[in-house]
Amino acid sequence: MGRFIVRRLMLMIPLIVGVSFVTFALVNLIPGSPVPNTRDNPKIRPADVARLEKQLGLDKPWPERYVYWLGNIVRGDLGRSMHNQVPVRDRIWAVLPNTMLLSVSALIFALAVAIPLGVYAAARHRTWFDRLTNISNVALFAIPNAWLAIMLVVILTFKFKEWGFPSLPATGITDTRNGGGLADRAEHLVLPMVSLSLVQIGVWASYIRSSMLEVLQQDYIRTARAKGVSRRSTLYGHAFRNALLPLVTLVGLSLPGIFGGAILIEYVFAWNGIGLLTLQSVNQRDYTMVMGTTLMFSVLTMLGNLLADVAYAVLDPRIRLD
Amino acid sequence: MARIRSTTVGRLAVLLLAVGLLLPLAAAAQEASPEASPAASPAPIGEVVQPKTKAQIQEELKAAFAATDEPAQNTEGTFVVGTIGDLQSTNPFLAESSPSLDIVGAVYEGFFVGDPRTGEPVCGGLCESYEIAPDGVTYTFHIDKRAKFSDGVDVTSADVIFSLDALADTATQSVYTGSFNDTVASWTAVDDDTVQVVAKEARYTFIYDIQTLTIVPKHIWESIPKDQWATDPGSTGQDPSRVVGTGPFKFEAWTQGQEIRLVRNDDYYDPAGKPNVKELIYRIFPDSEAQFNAFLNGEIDYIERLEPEQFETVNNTEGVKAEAYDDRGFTYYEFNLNTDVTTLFVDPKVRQAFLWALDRESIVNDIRLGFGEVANGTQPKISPGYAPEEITTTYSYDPERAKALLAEAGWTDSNGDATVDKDGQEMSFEFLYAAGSSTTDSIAAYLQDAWKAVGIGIQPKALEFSALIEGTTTNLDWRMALYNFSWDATFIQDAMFGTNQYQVGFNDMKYTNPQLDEIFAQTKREFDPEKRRALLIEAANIVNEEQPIGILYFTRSIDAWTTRAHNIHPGAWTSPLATLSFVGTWVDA
Repeated sequence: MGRFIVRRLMLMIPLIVGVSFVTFALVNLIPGSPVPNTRDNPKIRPADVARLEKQLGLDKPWPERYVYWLGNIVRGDLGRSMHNQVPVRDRIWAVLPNTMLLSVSALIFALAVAIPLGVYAAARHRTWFDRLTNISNVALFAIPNAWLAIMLVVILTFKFKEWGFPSLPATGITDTRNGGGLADRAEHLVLPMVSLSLVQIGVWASYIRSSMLEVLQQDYIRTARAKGVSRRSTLYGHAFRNALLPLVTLVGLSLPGIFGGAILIEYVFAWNGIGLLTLQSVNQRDYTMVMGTTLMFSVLTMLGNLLADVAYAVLDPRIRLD
Repeated sequence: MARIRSTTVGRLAVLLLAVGLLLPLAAAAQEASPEASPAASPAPIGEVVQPKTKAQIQEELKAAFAATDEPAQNTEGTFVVGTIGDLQSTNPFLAESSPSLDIVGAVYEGFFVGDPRTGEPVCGGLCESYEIAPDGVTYTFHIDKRAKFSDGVDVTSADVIFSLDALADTATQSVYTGSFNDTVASWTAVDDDTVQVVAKEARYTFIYDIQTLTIVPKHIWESIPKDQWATDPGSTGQDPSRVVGTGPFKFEAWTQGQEIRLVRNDDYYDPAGKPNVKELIYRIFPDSEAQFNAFLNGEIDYIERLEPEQFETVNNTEGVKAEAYDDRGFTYYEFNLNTDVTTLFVDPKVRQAFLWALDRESIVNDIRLGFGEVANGTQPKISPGYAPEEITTTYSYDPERAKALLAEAGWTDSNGDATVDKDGQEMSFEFLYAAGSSTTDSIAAYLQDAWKAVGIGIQPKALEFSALIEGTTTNLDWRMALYNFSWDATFIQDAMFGTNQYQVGFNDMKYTNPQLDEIFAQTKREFDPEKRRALLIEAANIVNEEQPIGILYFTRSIDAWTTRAHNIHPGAWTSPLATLSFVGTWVDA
């Protein structure tokens, strides 16, 4: 197991280099520059622009700058933002907890809803409940979650307010005027968390349902029932635990989707996380910041996958990772 | 989908606002008669000019605004402003985008403030009064003797000289160094409270050039090498205790990516400029859509420049209201006149035909929902040069005339493909515009239809804003593009029509007219507002005849705020911030 983990960690290195190279090429090839130009502010002269670009090293071709950037990364230096000169590391550390809070709570919420839903649908196979769950799972999977997020805002913020119900805040992490308390934070978390988890709920619930149905066909379940074990006990004691196993991989594989989804959700809800930071940095052509956040996303995603593989081995004694 | 698109609108708005700090102008005048332009007189102004003092300006503004304002019932309130984009620098020499410019403007001061009625730089902030010597280049500023930095240290001429030295030095990494050194010849301290600044040329526009000069405390910055200013925590905003200015607000805290908090400077030296809100918070949004939702839900108090269709939404929502006002910009299409690339538009008759073919009333009423005015000439409604009655040619909706002009220029449909052609060349090309606004999409679609009716075929192509700019500047091979533009208060439009602005300013067209260049230069030298007005009108008539661009409408913008905020005066020259410092906006407890 130890060797496996080390090997996987080593494999991450070429992967990260590859991802960073492609990202670096892409952000540098799109039109625009982090340096303001005479178009942004007429007080700026072309000579000022050239001088600032030189000061930021932008007068050199991008492959050369990439090598330079990579050299700094190896020494643990992510550089400074080209937009506001704040160290990239500081900026990422400032927003990372917000993204973790959103992603992890969405993950937990999705599991908490998807597991009972899937199990119950399998237990009630071919009833109206089963069919309804099936349809809504497909729908959740098919509808873009940014659109769902907007619908949730329309209903739970604006319509609820109009109808006189307690409504939820539309944006942000805390209330600007007098926020910061636990209740305030929880209230702000609800909409982004639910929006981010809906797609996962759809996928996972239908996966658990079919996995349960498959297990319920197995001989040992029939044997258990024949021995007189109650239906309830076979369902939760025997079938459920085995059906859960593939879910571990699935959750691990979904991590990129959750982080990726978080970019859009953070954007819609002005949630001050690493996804929002990435998009804003792209808009500002803040090359160093885009590279920093991309690196962070890649590492998180790869670690998530590794974690899933390890968890799988731990849970299923038939799997050996060497 | 539509919502995600409007994302880009926000960014566009920000860029346009930044663009708004421009310096050009144009004019609408009688007749473009060449003999009417007098010989250039290098305007020595003859006598000492004593512009209005800070006290006089404050009296006038009180009469203009405060007289009708509700008295403040709460001076401890919090005003939350939405902004798109994060803090870029808290150092006035390094700040160049919104919201940094607003924040720097609240925390630091210079010698001028923008008059909220006209946008002109007037004596304010550290300026008690100033004079212009008869040579027209020597400006003497008297520092307000009460002035103190927020850490209690007195402001003296040494701080002013220190600040100007820093700005002139390229090591400071300021984007303003080039324009400062282009316009300012020298600066000296006369005594502790008096400084003299000498301009390179006697120009009326000099006060615009130096309007944004801002004074930083020598005692904080002198020990920092200039090449380290950009990364100093007092510039990045990471250490609020090093952000020390003389302004009515103090920089309190910055939660990166989330909000910027300013708090009233309770020791502010000028009682007449003391704000009636205690806290001013900038909340950061990724786009105008999220910002608009937050506003409708009462999470922020003020937003600027809404889309036309949002006007009604706001006024149908409880607790918020919107108001429209005439702004300083216009929406226009531009032609590529670079004959190395294309000869399609060389004939002015062809360019005129484009405008005759358009029903601009319909654009304003049906697409802009009435928020705008069909442009006659080039000077927006709030410009001193606005004079539709003095514009020689008024382009109405006349497709027949458009066809006739095209035919006169030799463009007819000789091969029956419904598109006019000449010498085997078809009048059919790509038309570039900024993606992200449903209003702009509709305008592009309308233009396509209207021009098709007279035999002109355009293929509208929406581009992300940076790509659009590159598409008409770095890339020379384009045909036509659609843009918005905002002018500064001089309304001298050389940044767009001046020959020397090709590849530098906004003259993407490569338009050139020496007579017009001379009028621009003359306007800048002219200290008499009446004569300037005549020159603005003269320039506008030339552009209006030659049509290097076609102006669709003068902008009417919409701002909105929560009803808990009082004494808000939206306008082209007021930001909520200017309103706060000038006329005592206050917010319910």
